[in-house]
Amino acid sequence: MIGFIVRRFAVSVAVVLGIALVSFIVIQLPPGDYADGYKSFLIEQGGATESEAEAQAELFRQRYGLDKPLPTQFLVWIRDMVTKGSFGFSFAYKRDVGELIRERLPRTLLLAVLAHLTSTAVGIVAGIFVAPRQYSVADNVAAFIAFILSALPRFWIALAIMFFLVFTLEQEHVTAFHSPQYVVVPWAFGSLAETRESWAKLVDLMQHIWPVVVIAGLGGVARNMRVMRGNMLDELNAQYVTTARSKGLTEGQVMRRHAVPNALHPIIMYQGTVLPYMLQGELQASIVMGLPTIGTLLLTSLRNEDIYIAASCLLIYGVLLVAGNLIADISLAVLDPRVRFS
Amino acid sequence: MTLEQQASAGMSAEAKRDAEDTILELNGLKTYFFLERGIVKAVDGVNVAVGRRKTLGVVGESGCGKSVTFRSVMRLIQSPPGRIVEGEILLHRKDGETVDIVKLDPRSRQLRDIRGAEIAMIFQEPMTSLNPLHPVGRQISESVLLHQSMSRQGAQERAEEMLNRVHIADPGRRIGEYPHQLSGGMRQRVMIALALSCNPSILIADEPTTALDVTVQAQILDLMRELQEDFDSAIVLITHNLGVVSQMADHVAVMYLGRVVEYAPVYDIFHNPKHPYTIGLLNSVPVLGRKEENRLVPITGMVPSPMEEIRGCAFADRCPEAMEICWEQSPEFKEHEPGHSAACWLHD
Repeated sequence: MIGFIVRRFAVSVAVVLGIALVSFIVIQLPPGDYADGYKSFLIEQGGATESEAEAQAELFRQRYGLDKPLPTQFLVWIRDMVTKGSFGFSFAYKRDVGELIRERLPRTLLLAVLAHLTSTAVGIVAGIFVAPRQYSVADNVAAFIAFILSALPRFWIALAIMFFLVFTLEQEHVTAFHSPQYVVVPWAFGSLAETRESWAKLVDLMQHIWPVVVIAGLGGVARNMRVMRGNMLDELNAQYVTTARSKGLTEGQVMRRHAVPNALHPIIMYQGTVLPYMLQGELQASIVMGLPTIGTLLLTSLRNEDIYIAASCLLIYGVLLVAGNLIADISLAVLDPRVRFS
Repeated sequence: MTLEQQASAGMSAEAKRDAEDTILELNGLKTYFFLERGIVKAVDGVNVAVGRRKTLGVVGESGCGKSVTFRSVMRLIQSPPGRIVEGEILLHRKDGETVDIVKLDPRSRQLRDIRGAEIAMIFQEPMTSLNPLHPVGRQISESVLLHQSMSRQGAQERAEEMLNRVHIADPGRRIGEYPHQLSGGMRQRVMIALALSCNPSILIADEPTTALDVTVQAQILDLMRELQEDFDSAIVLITHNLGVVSQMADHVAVMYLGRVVEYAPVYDIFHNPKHPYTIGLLNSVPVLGRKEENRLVPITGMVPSPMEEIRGCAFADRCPEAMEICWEQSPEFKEHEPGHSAACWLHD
């Protein structure tokens, strides 16, 4: 088991390095760089001549190392990341990219993980519920809802929910994590008053983020339910389930001890790929809802050719994907002896 | 004298002993599957009895309803689409009571107490009949814990003992192993250990050796015979292998299209078969040293679809001795010689 984890971990590190390389190259693909944008800004807004602006842009390139060959830029980026924990410099924000990401990553993960957990739990439970009732009314209703949920574009759902929040529920602040009065309240649980304040802040936070969680999670609920239902139907027809029934177990015991654990197998395997799916959902929902998460950061940086932010965001997504797969692999090994021993 | 006593006094000594020695009786059992394209009469009026500590061989082609019949006994028929529409399944329980399994709710406590503890079952596919996620020991002890008041520790010891009884070497190590670590023959041994772990009075073996190598087949059959004596169980051996039946069974029921067409002691089936279908089956089995001119004789024609509405004898179509009446009326299944019943007009 330990050997298995070490092996998987080593492979993951190699994959992350590969992702770093690819994300860096991809970011360089569009023509021009931030300095070009800066140059045209100087010409249009600053009234500078072509040559003056070009000189300024060249100066800019030298200062941020954009004039160096690409392999050097890449190596410097990786070196600083490993040795200083610095992800490069954002030209637009004039700040260290690491800082920007550190600020936004926890919120992003909070949203993605919440969406992930709800979609998994709801999807699996719904799948287990409908499988033994194949083709019943409940099954058909669930299938209908699932298809609608996975077919609706998420940005559209986000708009619809926002409309509903603002015009029907008349919630005043939608495009933030907190209402203004709670932004400065610290997370503290020392005294009773502090705890009460923090609790109120938490409730306020939930009021603001549930749409994103729901939107990012909806498609996942539908998918998980369909997958779980299909697996359950396969497993319920398996011979060992008949064996379990012939022992005299109750139908509940047959499901809990025998059918469900086997049906979870593909779901767990698939969780590794679901995390980025959730991040993508979070990205779309956050952009529409205007929440300052990594998703919105990535979008603006791509527009600005703010390469270090964009590359770092891509890298972070890559790392999360690899981490998701690693966790899925390990959970699978815990569940299934056949994975463990081979 | 009560009516009952009078009735029992009226019974012949032989009939009385028979009744006492019977553990399972199927009377007019009908199990149908209600599909969109029609009703499949998989079991269409089966009468058969299983003697205490005896082995009943059930033979017939694929699709003749032999498996469905005994899955009905365990109430393992998936419903919908399957349903027992008629008949009774009388089980003479360990406590002396007689229950009609047909009347029990498949989810009831009473039926669950019968499953595993009084009637146990082993299946054709040893590769898939164990749960891949649990060690084999736990799968045996699960059943023990269910039916016997025993500690977890005790149940685990019982599992180990059972593995020893089915001649699995090093059972202490094997109970911790998973099904994928065992060979097909070993898994079937585990299934037998699981089935017998609660001392059932009937063991239903649904083609237990079909998926195994010939040498392993013989070992498994030997093992079943040995354990039958130790555990005092009756065995229902469902198979299409007449050789296996001749070695194992005390009585044989030959099934064709959802019905028992002949029932007799094993010797009579092989030496004095009455139903042309039985004769056909025997002629289509290769016999070592049979003369050149006595080549294998296949039964001509095809099994009719179980959805077809058949007038007369279901076998008439393929029967070399079919008479006019065979097309008109279905023959009754009745005793022609003591202990030897058949459903055929030839003997009327």
